[in-house]
Amino acid sequence: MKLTLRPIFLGLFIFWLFFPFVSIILWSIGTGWRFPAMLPESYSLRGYKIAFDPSGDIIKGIITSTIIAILVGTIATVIGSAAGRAIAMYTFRFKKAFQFLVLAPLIVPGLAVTMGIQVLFIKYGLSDSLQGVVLAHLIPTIPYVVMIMSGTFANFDKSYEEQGSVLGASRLIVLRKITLPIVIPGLAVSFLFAFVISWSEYILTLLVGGGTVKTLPLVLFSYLRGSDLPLVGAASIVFMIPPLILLRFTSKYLVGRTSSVTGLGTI
Amino acid sequence: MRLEKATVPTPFFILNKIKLHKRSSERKATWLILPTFIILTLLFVGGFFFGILQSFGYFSVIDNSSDGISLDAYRVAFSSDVVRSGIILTFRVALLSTLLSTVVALAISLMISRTKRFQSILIAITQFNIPIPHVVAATGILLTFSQSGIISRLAYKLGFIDSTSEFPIITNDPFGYGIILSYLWKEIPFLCILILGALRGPVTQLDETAKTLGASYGYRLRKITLPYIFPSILSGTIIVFAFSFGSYEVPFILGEPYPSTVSVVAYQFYTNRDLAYRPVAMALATITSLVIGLLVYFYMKITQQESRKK
Amino acid sequence: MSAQIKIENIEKSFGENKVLKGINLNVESGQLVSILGSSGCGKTTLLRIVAGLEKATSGHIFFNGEIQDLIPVEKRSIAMVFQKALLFPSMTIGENVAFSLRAAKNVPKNIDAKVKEMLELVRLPGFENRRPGELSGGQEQRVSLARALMRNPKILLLDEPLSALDANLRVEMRSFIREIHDSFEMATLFVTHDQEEAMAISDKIAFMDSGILEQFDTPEMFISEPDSRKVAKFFGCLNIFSGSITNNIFSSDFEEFNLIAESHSVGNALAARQEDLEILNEKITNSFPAQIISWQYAGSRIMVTCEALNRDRNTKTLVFVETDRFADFSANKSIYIAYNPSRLHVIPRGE
Repeated sequence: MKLTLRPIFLGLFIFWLFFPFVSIILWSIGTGWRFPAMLPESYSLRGYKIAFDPSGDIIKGIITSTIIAILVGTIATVIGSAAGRAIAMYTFRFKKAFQFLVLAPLIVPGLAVTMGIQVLFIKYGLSDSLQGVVLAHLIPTIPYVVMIMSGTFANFDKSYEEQGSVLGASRLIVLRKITLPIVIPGLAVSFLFAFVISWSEYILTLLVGGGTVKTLPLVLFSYLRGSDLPLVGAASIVFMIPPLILLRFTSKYLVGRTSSVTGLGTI
Repeated sequence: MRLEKATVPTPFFILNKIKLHKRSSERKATWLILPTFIILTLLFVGGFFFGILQSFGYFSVIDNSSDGISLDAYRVAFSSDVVRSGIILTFRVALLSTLLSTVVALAISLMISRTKRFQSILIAITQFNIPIPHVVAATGILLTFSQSGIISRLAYKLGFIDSTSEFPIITNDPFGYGIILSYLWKEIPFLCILILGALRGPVTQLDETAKTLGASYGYRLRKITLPYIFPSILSGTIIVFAFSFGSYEVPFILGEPYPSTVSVVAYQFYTNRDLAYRPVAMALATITSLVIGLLVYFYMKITQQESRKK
Repeated sequence: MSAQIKIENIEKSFGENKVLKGINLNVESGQLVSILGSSGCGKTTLLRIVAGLEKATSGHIFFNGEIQDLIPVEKRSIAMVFQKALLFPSMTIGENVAFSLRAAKNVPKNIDAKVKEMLELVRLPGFENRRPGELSGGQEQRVSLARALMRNPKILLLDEPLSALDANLRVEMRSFIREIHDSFEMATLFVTHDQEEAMAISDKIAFMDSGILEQFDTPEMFISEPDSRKVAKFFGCLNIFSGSITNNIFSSDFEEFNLIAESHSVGNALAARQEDLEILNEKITNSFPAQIISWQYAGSRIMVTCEALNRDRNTKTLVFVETDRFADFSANKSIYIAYNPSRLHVIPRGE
């Protein structure tokens, strides 16, 4: 029985996953689309014209978001990998406490933390600044990187590095030529997660950036308050593209043989 | 006593203890974890701690005559209808979406792992939603399921309804259906990826062995597969629940102004022109964190007991 | 009576790669057959097809006359042990052993007693409450075997079960496997790459190379009558001389070997096992001149490398002789190598 029902369930699942995209796309290109028409009366690319206006908010938002997300992705991946390696391959005092520290940001809502820390940010001149936003974004992203990379390093065979050292390679060379190629899947997935989380982050950016740092989510949010649906649709589509591009490059690492995501299963 | 300056509560004493250890491997580990430790301690622990302090009345931006710990914020929070109904809504939404997404993700993952032919395509499609920002997801759900959305128009076309008002209110509704839908839309693929990753491991060899011992699919599922992938499901569920409980964007887009989830309420308090509401916002945030923390703790305790019983 | 296991024309391709090229093999009840070959020859794939873990591209499998092709693994009554013991980590030893009985539709009554009995049989009495992590490799494999046998199947499949164990343990365990096979009266297929192992416990050996069954014979025949050069080499024959045969005489590059009357009349290779040759100081009939090059210990015996001058008076052929350690083997010494015609074997297939 399961055999014949399976395609139906899976089909429904896929349909449900894709449907909202259809909505967004249609709304983004339709004009005067009133209920109950199934398809818009006419089509126009006005939404996209506004979206891609070089002096417009969206382009500015893209640039800001990209800079922040790349910074956050890189920093989080670098320092999170170090921590992940430490957890997977070393024992040290207070290790359990450290692991708890790393996982806690996943449980405590970012809003709570950011509201609390805003006083400090204002004091130290970090609020309303790009640096401040980057710092704030590190809070929800580092835990993911640590989890993914500790999973990756748990499967890592240290003898490769030892072999390199025995052959006379310096620690830097060993890191670059031996370790890095092996853990690249984990790094790729880590960067993906960190980038996407930063890219999508709204409330943290709003609080710390104070509305000065205008990332794409903030722009989209302000459009949502208006009722210019084609603009909302176009902005949404634009918003989705960079993460999807990133996914294209890292998807083989997500559920491949070296599934780095299993690191997320180690609490 | 009122703290004048913002002192950063870094636990230097812990740092020192670690550094005292002579063993080089521990020293190496220390260097590795140091950046993460510093950032998370300063920003996360600091922020959290400060939030708690502010909820007790410290660092008040307005001149407070009350000294020491004040529970005023908490009193206000608990007595507020907004807060109370917000908590109920949040619980409802978080619990339902976590439960449903876990069950559906498990079912879908198992189905996908059994499908040999189109497996890679299915996995690719499932992955597709993961990088989509929640804001976009919420927008998509809004445009699809609102009373003038596509499903509604489909219903009209098929003759089920005659006007927009006849279509059930799923988005911006008091129950939180829209919010749940949006969470499900993103959380199910996320959990699927976790579970599928776990299903690929050494579990396949154990499964083969069980096959040679005559165990049917259902028996293998119960006794071998599920116990094995349990940790992944567990951590996935925790992440999903904590997110659903504390998220801001989605409830804001898909919920009603009143009642709304705790994060939205907290932000409303925080940005209230009356600055006396700041501590209340902090109190709410603290309560939220505590609630999630407690629930996660008990959840883990119970599920670990269950797996130990076996 | 039909064979307990009948492998008929099994072919298997993984994409472009043809791994099994038409295997035919029968195993009778009570027979222990080893499938022997080096890595990559397809032996594990064949076993997995018999088990039902893989589907053959073409060909059929029969158990006691019943075709198995469409029967899924879990419904075939086999016992299978893999290279890794694969004990279920979340269960105790007792629960592992009892697994197949509890998984069955009709759960029998006295499972605990049966588990106890089985654990005693594999010489692990009282291990019911231990956990898989606590056992040594050999112990784990015995549990794996016990677990597999609980349903009293007529067919036992072993996929290199001893490869992960150390040398001494392997010797012990293989006799144990033979004992179990005898007491349960099953048809057993034992996959291994270790020739000594296969020789020690098998009733018959199926030698595979590159997806083809090269020879299916009793162990003794692989030594005295290898069917091909590949087999001869695999079973340790160091002297394989090319040449041709006419009238019971095998002409090689350096010597005309006298053969006994029953020899094959076709073949262009002669196998002369090194232990069947002898080093003498004088010429006798059935001997040829050679020169000692070097020697080394092979266990407690001596392997002497000699050189015989070919008829072209220019090139030489290496001849190996294995002998005991009480003789004079100075280098460059000229000696005679004697052979026994009845121990020579002409290889029928030249490759």
